[in-house]
Amino acid sequence: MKLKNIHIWLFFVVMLMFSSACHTEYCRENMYIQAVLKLYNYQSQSQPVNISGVSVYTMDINGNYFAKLPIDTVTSTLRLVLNPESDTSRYRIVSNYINNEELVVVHKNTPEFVSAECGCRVKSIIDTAYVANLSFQDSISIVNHIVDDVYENENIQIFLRIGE
Amino acid sequence: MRMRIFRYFCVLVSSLVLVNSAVNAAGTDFETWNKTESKKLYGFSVYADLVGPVMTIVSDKVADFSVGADVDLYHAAYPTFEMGYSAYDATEDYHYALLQPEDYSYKCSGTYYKIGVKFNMLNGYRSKKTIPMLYLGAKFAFSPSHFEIDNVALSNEFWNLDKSVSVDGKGVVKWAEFAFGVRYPVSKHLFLSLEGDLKEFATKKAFDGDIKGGGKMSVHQTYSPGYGDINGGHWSVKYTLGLFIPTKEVKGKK
Repeated sequence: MKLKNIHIWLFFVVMLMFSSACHTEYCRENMYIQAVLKLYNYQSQSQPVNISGVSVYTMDINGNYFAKLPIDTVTSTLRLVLNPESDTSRYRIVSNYINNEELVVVHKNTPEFVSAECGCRVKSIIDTAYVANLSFQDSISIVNHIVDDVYENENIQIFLRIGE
Repeated sequence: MRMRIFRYFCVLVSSLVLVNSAVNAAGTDFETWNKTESKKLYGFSVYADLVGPVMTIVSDKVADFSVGADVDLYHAAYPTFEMGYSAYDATEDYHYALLQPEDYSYKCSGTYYKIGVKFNMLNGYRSKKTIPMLYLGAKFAFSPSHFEIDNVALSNEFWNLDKSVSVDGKGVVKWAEFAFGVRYPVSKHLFLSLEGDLKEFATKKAFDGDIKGGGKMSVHQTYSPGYGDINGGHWSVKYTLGLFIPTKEVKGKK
């Protein structure tokens, strides 16, 4: 290689310098950590029940509501946002076939600093889940204990005695 | 971003100085001194980055110092060791991209070490002590560093939670570095070089940080000394001034 090619070499160095200066700084991670809950009729466990009339509220130990949680009626999925500051999350489930049931989820939290662009999120591992009033409930099952940014697997299944 | 552009501007200007210096270096004295026999070990070089100290002076957000050494084998292979110290305040860089409390800050500092080899692509200079280099190289690098993140938001609208936490700890980031650059002797013992480094394969391991007030937090470092922004651009450039120490001549063989 000849020394006169040094100018071409320098040109590439300078071009690469400027190309590396141009990058965007935004968060590429899913920062919403939610447990997936589905309701089933205990007699037909393959299909979740329609949840179009279901509402779920976060609440404190005294029964005071904080906020209504989002639900996905297309996939009949309730998305439980666990309490990031406590190891117990309490919810009020309201619908025409669930009479103000109180769902309690006991979990262990792991706070995580994802990056400077994203900030913090809290992942959890579910220990226990139960429904305080058993009026319509047949049973409850924790299918997947890990609550993270992947929503593919259901975390909790509740089987209801409805339509009898 | 502004600091990075400024850094590149400095390198661009100084690279022009490098080319100019290289042209002036070809003096008669130098040519006479530079003659030697073909041998295995031509000498040793030590060098220091010039851009880092300048950045340290002009910016209160970054401090960076690095030195290195290599061995000239056959004018072809240059085993290299580099080390440095870097401190970085990443607070302002990301404040606009994510809503954080007013007193949020993210700082990181520590040493870094790089070991590898450079290969000179110029040939035909075996009868000279010091020669120009047009080189490619590969290095393994690692950096044990300390991070301190103050008042990062840990809010949740569904639980009426609006708080921030502070966390600090230590971690080690490892990566591979691919270098290419030019080096040119400007006098008998001094040389200047300009090097571009592509950093890849950085470890993304999370480290346990201590939350002030109790508890642990898993922390993925965004910045590492010697690497810069792990999630950002993977290129860096350095401009170095070095000292070449030739090996002794065997008497009567000059």
